[in-house]
Amino acid sequence: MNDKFKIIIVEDSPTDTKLLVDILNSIGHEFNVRIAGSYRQAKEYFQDYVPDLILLDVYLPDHDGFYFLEEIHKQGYEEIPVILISAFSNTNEKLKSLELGAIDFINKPVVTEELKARIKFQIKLKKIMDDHIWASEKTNEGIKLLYKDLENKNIQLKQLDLLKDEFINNVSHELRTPLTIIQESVSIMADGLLGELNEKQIKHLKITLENIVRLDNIINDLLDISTIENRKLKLNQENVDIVDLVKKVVSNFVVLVVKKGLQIKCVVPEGKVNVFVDKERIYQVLVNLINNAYKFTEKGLIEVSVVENDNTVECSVKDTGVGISASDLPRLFSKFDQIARQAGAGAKGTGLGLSITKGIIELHDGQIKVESTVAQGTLFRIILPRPSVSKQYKNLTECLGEVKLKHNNYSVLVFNIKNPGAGNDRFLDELKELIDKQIHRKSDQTIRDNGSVFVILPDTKKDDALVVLNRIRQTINDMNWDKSYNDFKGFIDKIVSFPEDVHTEAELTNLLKIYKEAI
Amino acid sequence: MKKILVVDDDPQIVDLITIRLKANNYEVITSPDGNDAILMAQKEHPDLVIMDIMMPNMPGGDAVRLLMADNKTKDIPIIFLTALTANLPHEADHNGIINVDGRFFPAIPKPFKPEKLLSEIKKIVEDH
Repeated sequence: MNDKFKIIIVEDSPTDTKLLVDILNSIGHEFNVRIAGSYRQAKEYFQDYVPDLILLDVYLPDHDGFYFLEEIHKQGYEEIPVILISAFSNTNEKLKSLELGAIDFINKPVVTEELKARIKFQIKLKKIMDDHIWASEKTNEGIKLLYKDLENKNIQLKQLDLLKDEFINNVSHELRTPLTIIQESVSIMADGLLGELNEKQIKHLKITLENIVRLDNIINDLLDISTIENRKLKLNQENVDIVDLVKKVVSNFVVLVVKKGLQIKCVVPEGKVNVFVDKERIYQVLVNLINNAYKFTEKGLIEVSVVENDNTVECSVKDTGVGISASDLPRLFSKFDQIARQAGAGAKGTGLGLSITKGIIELHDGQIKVESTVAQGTLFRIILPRPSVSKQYKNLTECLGEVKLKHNNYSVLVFNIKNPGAGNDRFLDELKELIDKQIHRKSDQTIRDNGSVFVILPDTKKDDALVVLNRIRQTINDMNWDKSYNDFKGFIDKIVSFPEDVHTEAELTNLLKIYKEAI
Repeated sequence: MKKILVVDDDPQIVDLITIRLKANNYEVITSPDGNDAILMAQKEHPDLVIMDIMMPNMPGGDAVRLLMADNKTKDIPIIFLTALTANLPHEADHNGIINVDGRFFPAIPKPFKPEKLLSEIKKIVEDH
């Protein structure tokens, strides 16, 4: 910070100049003063000397002071305070000078005390401004340092996170090998392959085996949560009949549930309800939820249901168990947080099950909701989006994207069902199965959409694709579906070939969409 | 008696599977890695190979590729038995599948349930 206060006095009269300098000297502050006899000279000073204050006589030989004010504004020095000194004759002149950016004016003849007060005020103002600028510069520097520090810490954390993932992966794999050996050793003993055992011995080996399964589940949970958290979990999405899946999971629980004296019931619509999901992962979610219901229910009923809404499919698991207190509900899905629910011996898990469940559902763009009353029971609702055309087109686009990377030309066969609808979509499943049996190249792909089946044939020109199409048409004819089923009205088929018909992926997707909407 | 080749770099696992298979009336031969397994398969013509994946010298996947490439061994059925199970179903009541260059093989995750392994073996060797 420079303590000297820089002033330019613009004044042509030596007497007046001397008076001004004397006044400055009497203030008792250190000044750096330059004197300009004309505006031109004052402007020249600006090149290497930007003042903190200008004392400006309004009438000088070359121009008047108003011209000077305009000039210094044009040159970008409007921040410099200017005090006009003049024998102001009228108010208009004063107003004009203020308008042009002067901050103050002093009447001639100059009253010493008045000018001193004005200048002192400017010095004080400058000091306040300087302090302020200094402080904010310091703050900025501080923020920059903090930011850099945070950036470095973030990089370190990311590296640590990677190490953690790798560690969890390796450890999981390394844990499984000894676990396999322990499990199979105990199994071999329990199965009597190494000699006969008494009942007590067998009982304890069975307990050991149960706990090996628990350990294995914990390892799987750790791996799952680590892949979900790092968004590395890849879903294998396909059209899945959720009714069939729910029935399958429930049937696996029947023996266990009945043994505990509970009932289990499936409430599902008749026929298929398709969702576009990763079958294994949704299976895992259902097992998690039903297993929870089983663990925390001592008497009564577990009800698993599927309900179709306009844009969603809801799947719920309801029990008549111990319930969850309102204060515990918000923590329910958080990692490692086990709420104080009473479970039977050996029922304690990793506390990861519900976080994994939530993670999987959210990856499917779905939601999970819970309602519960202590001592009455709990209801978990999974809300999954219905298979949307656009999403599956994305899937088609993804497949095409991969094909395009590896092949210069390809054809796509499109089969649209003439009368789409819930019941008729089964023909698409059957068609996909038929086609899968007919295509032998592993690079060929069949995609089942909710109104169509697509067959992607890489390295296939339009003529060759037509041969494949005719073969499939013949097979469909041979099936005689129209004779067996009243609701079978046939398929509309098309071939789109790249690069004969379309030149870009977007064009292709558009064309396929048009074909689809045409029916 | 059906002959099964067990390939795993862990001798304790090999021993245990051998006990289990012999108790179920299978003849068992073993290999500690992929290289040895190929020689063994060419020489012994097993009815089935149980293949680990993470092994020194040659991983299981590569060994299977070589078995598939050789006319003498290409039709031998294979079951993968592996602790590398990121993509294998743990919860489901069916087994996983591993795709090697377009051919699909059943895969059972370690630690395995003996009844799961035995039923898969039975299904395959009785088909052949």
